[in-house]
Amino acid sequence: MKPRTGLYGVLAEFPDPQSLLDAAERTTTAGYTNVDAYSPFPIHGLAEAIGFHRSGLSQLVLGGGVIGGLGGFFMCWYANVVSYPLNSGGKPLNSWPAFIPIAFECAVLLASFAAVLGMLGLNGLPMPYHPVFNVPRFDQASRDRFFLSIQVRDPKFDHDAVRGFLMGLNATEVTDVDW
Amino acid sequence: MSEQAPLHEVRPTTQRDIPERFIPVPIVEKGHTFASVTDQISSIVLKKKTPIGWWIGFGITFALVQVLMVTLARVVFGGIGNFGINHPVGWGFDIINFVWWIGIGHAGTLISAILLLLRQDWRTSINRFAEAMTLFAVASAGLYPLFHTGRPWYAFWLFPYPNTMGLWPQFRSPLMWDVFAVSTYATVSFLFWYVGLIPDLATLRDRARSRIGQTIYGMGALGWRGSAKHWSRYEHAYLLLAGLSTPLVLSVHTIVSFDFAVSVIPGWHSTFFPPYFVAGAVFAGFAMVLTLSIPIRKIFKLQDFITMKHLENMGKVMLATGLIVFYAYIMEAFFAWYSGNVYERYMILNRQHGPYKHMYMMLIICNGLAPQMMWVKRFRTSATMLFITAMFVNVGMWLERFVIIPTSLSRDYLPSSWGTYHGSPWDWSMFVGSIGLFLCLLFLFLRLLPMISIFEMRTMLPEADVHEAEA
Amino acid sequence: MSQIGVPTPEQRVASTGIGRWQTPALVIGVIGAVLSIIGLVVDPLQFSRSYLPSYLFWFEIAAGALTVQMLQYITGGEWGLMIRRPLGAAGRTLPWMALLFIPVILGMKHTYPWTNAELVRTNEALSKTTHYLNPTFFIVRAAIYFAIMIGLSLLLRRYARQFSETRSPYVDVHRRGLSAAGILVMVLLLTFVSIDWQMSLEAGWTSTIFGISFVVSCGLSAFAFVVFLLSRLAMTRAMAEILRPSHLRDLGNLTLAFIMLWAYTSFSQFLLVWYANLKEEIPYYLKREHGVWGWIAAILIVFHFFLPFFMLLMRSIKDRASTIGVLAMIILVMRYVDIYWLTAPSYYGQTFRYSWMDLTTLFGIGGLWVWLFIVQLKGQTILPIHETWVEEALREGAVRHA
Repeated sequence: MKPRTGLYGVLAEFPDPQSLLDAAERTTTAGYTNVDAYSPFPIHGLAEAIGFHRSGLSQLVLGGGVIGGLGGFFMCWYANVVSYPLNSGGKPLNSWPAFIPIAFECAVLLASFAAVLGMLGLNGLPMPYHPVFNVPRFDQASRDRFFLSIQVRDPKFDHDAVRGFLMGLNATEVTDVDW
Repeated sequence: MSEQAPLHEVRPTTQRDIPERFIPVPIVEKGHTFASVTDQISSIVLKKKTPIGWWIGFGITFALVQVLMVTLARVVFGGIGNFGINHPVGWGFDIINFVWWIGIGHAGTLISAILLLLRQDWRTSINRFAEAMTLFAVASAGLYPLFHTGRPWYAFWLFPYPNTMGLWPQFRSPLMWDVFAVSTYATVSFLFWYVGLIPDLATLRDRARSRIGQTIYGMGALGWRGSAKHWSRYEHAYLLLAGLSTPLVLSVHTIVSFDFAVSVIPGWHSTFFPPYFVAGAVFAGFAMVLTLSIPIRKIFKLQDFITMKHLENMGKVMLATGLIVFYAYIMEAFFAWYSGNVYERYMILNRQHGPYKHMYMMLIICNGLAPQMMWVKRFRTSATMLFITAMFVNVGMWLERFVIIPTSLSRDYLPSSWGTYHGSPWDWSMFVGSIGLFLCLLFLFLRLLPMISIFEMRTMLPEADVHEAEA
Repeated sequence: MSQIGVPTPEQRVASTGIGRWQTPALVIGVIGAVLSIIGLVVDPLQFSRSYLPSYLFWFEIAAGALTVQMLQYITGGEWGLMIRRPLGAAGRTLPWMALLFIPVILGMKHTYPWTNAELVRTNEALSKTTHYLNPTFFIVRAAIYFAIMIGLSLLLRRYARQFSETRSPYVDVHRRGLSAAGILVMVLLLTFVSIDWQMSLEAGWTSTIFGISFVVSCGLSAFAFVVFLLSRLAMTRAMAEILRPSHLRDLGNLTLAFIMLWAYTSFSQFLLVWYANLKEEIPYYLKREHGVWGWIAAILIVFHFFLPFFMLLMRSIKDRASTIGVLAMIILVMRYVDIYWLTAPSYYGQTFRYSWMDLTTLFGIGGLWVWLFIVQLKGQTILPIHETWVEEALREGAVRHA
């Protein structure tokens, strides 16, 4: 893929979580849709403020758990009843109580993988390169600084208007971000 | 609102001069900012100069790892006859230590998962460290069954894979359940720990000054940039993982207890074993967290983050789980008598008056009586007393497994097949070596990764509170 | 700005409309009692066998409520405030539960195998435990159990009164201390209750997890009962403004935890007995897994575990009073089914029996119990509004807009 060039968006810096949250709310109210906010820790209500709602992670995890549980039970049943039947302790071949522990462990294992891989996948991680890293101040986003970006692909994007708008939100600094 | 009410019913909390003991102790000491929290915790990892104390500790524990290596070599080349096991006691130190280590690991998952679900904020300062402890304890635990097989290079036979021999593992065996439980536990604990680390690795990536640090922490951080959407999914996934880990951690020690309880050995076949083992595991684990965190907070000057409140709460958990364990001792004795079964009754008499009676006495002192000190607030809030109690529990929980395993095996149904059991020097060297491995890994962890979750500590600060605009 | 401490008329129990249920409960109780007494005259054997599971069902709610009440004093949290008054009222029915225990004592010879001298002589296990399992000691122990439980509930009542007068934080600390010790006492006490009243029905059978299983069942019964009650109150003026979805969610999560613990203890016991297959133990399950008993076991697996488990995972069900109320009702019904399944096969063996007296005793005791419960609940506010930290707990929006 050819590397993209040009402007990615505009990044505004804020000193504390409250001003970022307020700014995010006002940005959404102003009609911007391709917005992202960056903070060093999760801020309650911030994702909702930029118009993001709950993901389908719960369903993925439930699916992983059900497949894992049924699959685990099937594995025990197939191995000990169909493929290699062996009488052990006078128990019936399909000794289901003895298969429950492994079925349970498999359910938890697959559900956990679904949670972690689902979270990373939906977030598009790992993503070693991202344009916001080009902003030198952005390394403070993992310390004590708060950022808000409005991207070029936003239908309402207009460079000067966006810069002015972000300045008006009490940002301490507003920077252009290049691809 | 016109209802007449006496004044004291109107303003219930107007009482002035509330004594100091009723004012809640903060989780983070006052005066910290996002930056100071970040810098103080990450500097432990990022500073160039390694403290001399670290080198000494690492050196000693690394030497103990060599003891472990020698033992393992001896056992692999000479066979497991080097251990003290023989008829009738085929399960000795290996299983005792396996259960002991697995139990210690459980506190990590409990702190990170169950306390998260119960919204116990104080867990934040200790969860990362406790999770690392879980991983290393599971690693130490895993060595025992692996080498107890005698031919560890065939250990993969335990996993179900289609093979040319046309064989499958026996899934009805609790030892197979163990394989699945422990490997699932190790995997999920690692995932939980790693997911928790991602944002902090991003912090280290941005703070590291050396090229190699930037590269390695950067690879671990997976390109984390703190996006609000990412945080939202991240928190959701973290909560789901906590919800999954909670039943998992209960199941692991439950399955460990099944190893014993499905048998018909008196002293092993007891339906109370599953919750009893789980409580014992948490008990032992919290004791180990206390044992480690009390010196570490002093050495690394982390009293601001691991406050007395944390230590006191851990003391309370230790008391509560200790009482469950004590309940189990009482029930074991009562039911042995109540069942009217001659073998069950003899089992308890044998513990109290048989060849291992000193073990049983010490067990009651260490696990039954010593934790009762935690009823007293003055002891709960003294690091020294907590440390002493925790050491009692560490020893007591090892004794508990000794009392259960060799004592029962050495005298079962047939007096003609009775015997005695003692650990051999190789048993002891492996035990000491596994403690060395555990501590050595812990030292590496303390130096290379942030031992306190930085991003969660930021959320603990009052500045992190936001209020959403009224819709 | 609202004055949180002021008990508005709406917050008095009287205005929740709960009083409306009082008379019907008493009527049902009296009808059930009269029919049961007729049954007692006609067939005393059947009466005693029917009375025990019915009694245990209501006893579990009362004793569980006392335990959960102490639990919420220790843990704190808003969910505890929402249910504190109902829990206290349910706990204070225990003196009357002691009276209602008298028929169990009188019918002992029809239910408990160790009262049969012939059987005790021939059964090896029973013959060795006559020091413990004999009628006199059984009655003495029951008296001790009730004395302790009644004492605890009275002490808690006294602390609540004292607290409302002095509002001293020390009272709260003492109450928490009492609760911590009280839970310990209750766990031990309920363990022995389960051994005496339920486990000893099965001659020579023992299981060490049985006591904890019983404690968990008591907790579950209590939670299901108060959640059901709360879901009825949610629409009334007393609660509508206070009760938030998050309270129901917390209570739902706690109920879920107890459902899982119940499944955990029940399955552990079954698996270990099934696996070891010992002749002293396995008959217990052999009786209970065949014929109708087997179907009941299947019903328990589905409706006592899987259904509530998956329902309580869903926020849309936990957060709404209407849905969680239905679920709580299902759990309560299943509690009775479970108790019946644990108790009745001990005297009927593999043959399933269900008598009309099972129903009359269930509703007779139940009607009287609900009536007593409402009597205890009335005359106070439905929320413990005078308790010190109510203000703090409710500050976060519960009554903010009022």
